Amino acid sequence: MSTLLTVTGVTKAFAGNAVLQGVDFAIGPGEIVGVIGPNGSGKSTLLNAISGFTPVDAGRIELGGAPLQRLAPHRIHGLGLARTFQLPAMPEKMTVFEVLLAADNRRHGFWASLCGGAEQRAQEAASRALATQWLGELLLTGVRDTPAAALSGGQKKLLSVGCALMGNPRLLMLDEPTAGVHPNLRRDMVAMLQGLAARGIALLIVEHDMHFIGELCQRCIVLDRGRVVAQCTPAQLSQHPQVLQAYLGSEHPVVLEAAV
Amino acid sequence: MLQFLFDTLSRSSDLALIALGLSLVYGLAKFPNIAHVQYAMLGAFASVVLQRAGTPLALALGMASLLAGSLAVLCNLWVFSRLRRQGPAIAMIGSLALAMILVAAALAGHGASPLAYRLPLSAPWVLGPLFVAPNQALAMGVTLAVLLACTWLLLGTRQGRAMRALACNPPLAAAAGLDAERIIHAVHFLGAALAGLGGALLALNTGAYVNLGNDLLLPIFAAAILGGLGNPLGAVFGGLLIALAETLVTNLNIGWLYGQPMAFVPAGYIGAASFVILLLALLLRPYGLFDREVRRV
Ligand SMILES: Nc1ncnc2c1ncn2[C@@H]1O[C@H](COP(=O)(O)OP(=O)(O)OP(=O)(O)O)[C@@H](O)[C@H]1O
Ligand SMILES: [Mg+2]
Repeated sequence: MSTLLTVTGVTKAFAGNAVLQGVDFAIGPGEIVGVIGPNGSGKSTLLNAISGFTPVDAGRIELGGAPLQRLAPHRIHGLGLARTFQLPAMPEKMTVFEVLLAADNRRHGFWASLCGGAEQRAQEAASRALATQWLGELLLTGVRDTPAAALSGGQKKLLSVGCALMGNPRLLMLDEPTAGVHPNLRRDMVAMLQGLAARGIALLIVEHDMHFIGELCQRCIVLDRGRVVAQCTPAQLSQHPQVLQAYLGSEHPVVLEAAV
Repeated sequence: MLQFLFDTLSRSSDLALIALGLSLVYGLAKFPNIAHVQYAMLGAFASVVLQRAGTPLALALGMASLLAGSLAVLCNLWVFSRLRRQGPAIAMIGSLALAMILVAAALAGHGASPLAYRLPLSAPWVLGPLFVAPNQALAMGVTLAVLLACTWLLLGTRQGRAMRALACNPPLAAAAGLDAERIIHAVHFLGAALAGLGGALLALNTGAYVNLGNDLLLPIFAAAILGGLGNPLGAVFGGLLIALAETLVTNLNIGWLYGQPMAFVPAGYIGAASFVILLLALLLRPYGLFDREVRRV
């Protein structure tokens, strides 16, 4: 199987607190991989490291063979990686539709986009069509012209998924996409994300909802205190001794059953 | 009355471009750049010196604007891009230091005397009850055209959308592929180019002088804060209000206070008008007059 993203030996410490300790894994095109683990196990930090928001102390990260460790986030985005944030903050002074349009950053020449030839107008029309399409799929059509900051928590989550999709990514990383999203819509999201994977987009999904993980993911990466303690299918999770160890003392063993 | 309205418009046109630039830069760089008004002072000197050396006025105005913009890009490269990382307070103090250096440079380079354009004296146009100096009309016309262009840039183009997205939420913008550093450079250039042009137009009436920037500090900051710092078009309306207050104070006959037929507020106190408005704005509407109140927790 060809790989799209390869993460090798990624290590990160914040002021002596080791948050990622030699993380290794790989994802192929069109694959859906879940990242689970207790609070504070380093899941969001892993996404930040891959997307260039947190510089790593050691290790290699490659997307389609290109090393990412030293690149700024906007360059990494240019290579085809989009992400969402665990706590999406949205602009006050832009409408939902404008935020989506601003998230479409296929290469535009500075002067070209000011002068606006026929090609520019065609591109603008294409972005508007794409934005309208995602508004529909994410059930945000009704709030198209509201200031983005005024959305509810769940709607912001959905909008941030829409923003990530505006960039036409090869790899999409979502940080707890279903937190605060209505269960019905959660089911629709499973279908939508599977549709993306069918088109060859790889998905790396940080999530606490084991139902969602169980329905969606082919493979799970379990992080505990910054280490990958298991990689297996969602169904195998509850039999994995190290996974049980990682969740021991909490309610999680019960939760793990949900993934079966 | 008509003259009063005209004077208000003329004064707000003096303030508009510079306040717009300040607010634009604040929106992205997130610190109040005190040196911003000094770009106006330097723009005024550059334009006047060029014009006196024989450059046609239109070209001198344009070149002054470009020079101010380029200077701001250098200042951003050497000073602000580093200081911003230490937080807005540090960057603001840095901009105060830079402002002092720029004033000192102007003082050393030219001296304390004002320098005026070498333009043929022309009689004011009399339009009914209105007296309009041709220079005033020129400054207002150019300002209006540039304001319209800026509005279009901010609201109607992809670049403007990128600027607004970055101003609102830097991580989201970076995750969407926007290059923050490049956009911030561009905005420093644009903001200072507007200030330089504003200063050069202002010098049509006042000439270029070392304190031109310092005299603008209070009204410009009051205008930008009234409009909501970081809301560029709001700053233009803020400028209109400041101009209205200043013109009111200038024309107010306070003779009745002293039992005299005519008495006016001394020119030196006119700045107090914008100071009072600034204080009231900070107390009552710290986020500006046009705040839509969509902040949520
Ligand atoms: N910028 C930072 N500075 C200092 N410590 C940090 C920073 N970012 C993360 N950490 C620490 O790293 C650890 C892992 O945080 P991270 O956000 O990656 O956890 P997580 O697995 O995403 O948890 P959750 O499920 O609660 O979202 C935490 O102990 C956190 O305090
Ligand atoms: Mg997290």
